[in-house]
Amino acid sequence: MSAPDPTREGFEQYVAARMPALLRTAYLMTGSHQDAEDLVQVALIKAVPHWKKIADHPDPYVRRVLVRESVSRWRSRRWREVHTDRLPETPVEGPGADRVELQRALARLAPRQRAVIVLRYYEDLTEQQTADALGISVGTVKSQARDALARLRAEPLATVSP
Amino acid sequence: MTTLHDRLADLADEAPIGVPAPDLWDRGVRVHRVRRAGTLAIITTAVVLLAVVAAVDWQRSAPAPAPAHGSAGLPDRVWSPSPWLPATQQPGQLVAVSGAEQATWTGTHPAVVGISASTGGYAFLDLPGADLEHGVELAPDGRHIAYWLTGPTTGTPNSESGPVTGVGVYDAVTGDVTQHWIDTAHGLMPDFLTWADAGTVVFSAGQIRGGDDASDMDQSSSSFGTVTSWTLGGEPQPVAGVASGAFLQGAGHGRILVDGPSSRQDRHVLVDVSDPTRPRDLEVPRLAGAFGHMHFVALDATGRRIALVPGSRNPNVVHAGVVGDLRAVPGTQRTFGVVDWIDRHSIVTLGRLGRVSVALQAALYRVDVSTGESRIIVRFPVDSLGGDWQFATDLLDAPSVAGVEPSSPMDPRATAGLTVLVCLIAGLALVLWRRRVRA
Repeated sequence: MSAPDPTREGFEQYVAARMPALLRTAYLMTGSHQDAEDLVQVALIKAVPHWKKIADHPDPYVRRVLVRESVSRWRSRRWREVHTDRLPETPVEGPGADRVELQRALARLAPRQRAVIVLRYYEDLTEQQTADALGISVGTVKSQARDALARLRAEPLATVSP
Repeated sequence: MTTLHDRLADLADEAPIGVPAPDLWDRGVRVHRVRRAGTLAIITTAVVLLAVVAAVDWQRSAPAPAPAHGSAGLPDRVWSPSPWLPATQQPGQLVAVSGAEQATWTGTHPAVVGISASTGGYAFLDLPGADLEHGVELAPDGRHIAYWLTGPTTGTPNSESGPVTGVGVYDAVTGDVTQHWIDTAHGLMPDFLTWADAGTVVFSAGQIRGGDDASDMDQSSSSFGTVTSWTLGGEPQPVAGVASGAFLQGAGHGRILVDGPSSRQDRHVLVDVSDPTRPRDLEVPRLAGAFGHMHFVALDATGRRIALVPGSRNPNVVHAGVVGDLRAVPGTQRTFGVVDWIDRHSIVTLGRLGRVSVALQAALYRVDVSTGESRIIVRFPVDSLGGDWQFATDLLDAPSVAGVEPSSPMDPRATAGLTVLVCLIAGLALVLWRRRVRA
């Protein structure tokens, strides 16, 4: 019987501990349960070859893969899917109505804007950390955040306050 | 009022409660292996293709190995040079030169290719300031090349003619160039440039009457040129006893043959350039014209014998012998011209190859003027009549050596294009592969 691989064990412990948080972030970026699960799996699988290097502090790398994969998937899907401005009819009354409106508003944002919003205002990353995760400049993060917030404010939501 | 963070956190509560797949690590390792294998395959393929391109490029560019003889030899055949041959400043003693097109990344331009007498290698020659429109002249010993220089004029230049403003002599052994500038208002109209012997250039050029701003008549007319002799290391001097504007008929072995007074078309003047005070009148049969770079008449070392292809058509039969007693040389009906005398019995001629012309091809023949017995000493490429080639006449009697086929380098634009194409395709394949092999 072979001895357990400490690198693999570390990875599996990380996955067990961080899976729910990663799924929450992925869900906010995709708006879909299935896509969120798929996205997280992809990010984790892609992290495996680099695990020895990132084992001490894996979050930035995994997050970077997560958001970049999300953006690139959305771009590739744009060519395959029929785009519509109208979301499927869903009940918007009741306690969940605000969630649905927010989800619709996020869905209308460009993928990079959505990622900026999620990283800056949900993950509470700094502008520099957000820029690093997305592979863009801090200036672009600022402008994307500004535009995204403006669009969210224009939606029929309750007031959006950063 | 709730913050955006709160509302996002509230929405995130809807996220799925995922259970980690048990084989994530194994899948990660497997995907990594597949991606790495594909990447390696693509890079290997690209490297192999680039290596093939580089190898073909190198193989075609590599100079042929120098023959063992080392000393000067006469190649038994010559080839049409590639426009992408390398250039050199010090080729050493040359056995032959030819005009050729030299290619650059942006086009082609006229240039001169030389064949090394010792190695048989081909290379373009760097002739600084050369005006190649009027050709170059290889010295009999193959060490020097004389050519017309182009440079500044004192008045408005006649651009269409160069303008030609002097004569240069290039030393193929040292790479040095000796220049003789001639004062000219608009440029010179070259009459001829030749070597009387290995150390003496003879030339003549008239002064063009008008520059670019002059009338067409003045732009296209010139004065009679002074026939000038220039011994290397000395100062050019007019050749005494030769009229201005004299037309060159032959040169070699220390003498030049020029036409005589216009009233006597068969009278010519033979001048020893080292002692021009005693010119000799010669009677020469009517000539059809010179072929290629050859002179009308070939003079022998004694100055007593001449050889030429007379008549009104070319090719024709060679006539050779003592002046005044020229005789047709048997079996020379397909001769374009006579290159030189080798000894009192033998000449070298340029003629069509074979008795039945299947392809257009020519050769240099060594011919016995008494019997007409001949043998081929140099073959020219198919579809070439050899008129572009000049040989160092002192080496026509040198030992015959196997000609060395020159390298034919690939067009560097094609090499660069192939390299870029391979890199682009490899890059594209890498991107597609890495997209295809997703986790």
